[in-house]
Amino acid sequence: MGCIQLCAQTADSSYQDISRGLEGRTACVSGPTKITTSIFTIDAGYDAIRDEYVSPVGYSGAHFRIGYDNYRNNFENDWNRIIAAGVDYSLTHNPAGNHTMHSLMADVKWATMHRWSDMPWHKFEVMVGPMAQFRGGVLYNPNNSNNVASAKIHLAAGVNAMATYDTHLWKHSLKLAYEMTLPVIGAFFSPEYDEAYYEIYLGNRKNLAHFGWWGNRFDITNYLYADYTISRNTVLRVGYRNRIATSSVCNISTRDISHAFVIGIGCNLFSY
Amino acid sequence: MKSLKFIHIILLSTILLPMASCSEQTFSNDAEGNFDALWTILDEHYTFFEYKNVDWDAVGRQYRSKITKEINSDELFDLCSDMLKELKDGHTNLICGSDVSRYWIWEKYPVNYDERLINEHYLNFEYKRASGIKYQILSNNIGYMYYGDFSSGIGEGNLDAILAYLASSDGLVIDVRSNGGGFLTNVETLVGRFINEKIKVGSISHKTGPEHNAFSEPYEYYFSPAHNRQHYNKPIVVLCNRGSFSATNNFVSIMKQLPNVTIIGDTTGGGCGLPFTSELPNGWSVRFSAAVIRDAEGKLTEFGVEPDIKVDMTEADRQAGHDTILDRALILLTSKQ
Repeated sequence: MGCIQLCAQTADSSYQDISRGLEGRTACVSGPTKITTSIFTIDAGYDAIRDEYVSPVGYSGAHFRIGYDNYRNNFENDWNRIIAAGVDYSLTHNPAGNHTMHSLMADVKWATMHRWSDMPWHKFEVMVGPMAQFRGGVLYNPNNSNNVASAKIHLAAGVNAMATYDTHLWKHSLKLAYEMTLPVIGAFFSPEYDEAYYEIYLGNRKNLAHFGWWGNRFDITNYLYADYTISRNTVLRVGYRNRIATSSVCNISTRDISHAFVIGIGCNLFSY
Repeated sequence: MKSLKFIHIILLSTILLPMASCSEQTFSNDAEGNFDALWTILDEHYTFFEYKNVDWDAVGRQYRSKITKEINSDELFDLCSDMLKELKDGHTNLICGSDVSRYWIWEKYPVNYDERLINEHYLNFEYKRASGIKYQILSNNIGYMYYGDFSSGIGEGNLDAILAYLASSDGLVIDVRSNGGGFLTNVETLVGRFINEKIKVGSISHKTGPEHNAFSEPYEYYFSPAHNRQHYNKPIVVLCNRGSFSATNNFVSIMKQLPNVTIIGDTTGGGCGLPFTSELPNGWSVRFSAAVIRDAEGKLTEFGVEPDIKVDMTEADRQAGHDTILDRALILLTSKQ
């Protein structure tokens, strides 16, 4: 495979134009075979959490996330690859405002998506493919006694889908994208109804791992963003991320809905 | 076009499916709503309704009928507190910004412990202290250690030092009177120094659903001796009173089964439930027993562990600078030398 090198493109000759040319099989033989876009993102927004193991009352408050997205467009075939990881923290309060709950989670996702570029509209692409995801962390409510925390571990396989539209703004490349991450099946951790972590510590590990499907756990992330290539291979991202996760197992219902404004910066790497 | 249909299905699913696994019960933030939330939390999570023969529906009806439109926050708190006291459970509390409701039955019994008296007349104010444990070898070569709070972390190194110091004594008094409990992990740490083989110490079961009789199978659990640590295997007396509650109650119930241990004092305060915390729409917290710990024989010790030798402190002894309970322990241990 060709080595990776930084491309010294001019501002109005962005990678999207190159990729488009390759899609049409009209590019010159020296064009890139892969374009990898790496973006570091920061989310800031709002989170509403309700976890009956910790409290029957919903908590809401500030939500933050730092993340890394790595997209690889492969022009040698019709498959793209995504690796995304992040850590998010939410500082939430109960409606009365006298209790605080912390949420600290980490997630890693890998997905490969088939690309369809023969859409009715010019420069419009749709990608759909399988996805594997890990998400884990903890809810911590210092007001509580033996249910002071609720651990979260979730391994899932599902669908990752994207729709993109390439255009230009002030002679620079602009990509508008919607990405959806939808776990379908998996396994996740949950203690039983009123099972204390002390009992788990003592060795009772029965019924802690649960098969996850849409009947007992639903989780979707909607990600809408615009990538603006400002100079050579520097990319700025502005977006909105929404995650909806619900579960119901062992008579414990949970819900987590977050909305966040996203900014990011990254670069394009070209493989020849 | 097939791909577009697939996308439509996915998008439709994203709208409908979040509802699939989400069922919620909400209460209004007014007197009735907060009362109903409290009653429901206990109804769905409390463990001892059947054991204590409490008709929670009747209790709810009785107290709910007392709610008036004019009821203020303090009155509602008192009403809810009275309802919780029907459970006769020291682990059940309602907590607001200005008060904590409680059923601390030990407050109605003789105290049976006077720290100043022991410090002055038995320790002569000369004692060592580590990991929240006060210890000394008394004049008759009996070791004495007082542990007043199971929330105080016990360092293994500290415990090595304490027991090494007490190793030359002919017997040991472990005083846990007026110890209101704390972390059960500290019970394991402490017990591990007084056993030489793995022993069954009890079983634990938890609620598995909102029904009053929905419990998991009791899970038997065991403690092992502390490996490569200082142990104490000579005769031991554990002193307890009604203030020995929760984790301390658990400690006493475990120590009671050891062959070289005698329990002296008053019945412990009980509290064999494992408390969880929940909250009401107005921000009040409620703590309640959500899981049950039984002793090694499968018995509930919710109302306490009876001592092997029942002794109360007498006022005459106290006035004379004597702790009747500690004196009884010293006599027993001295006789075993």
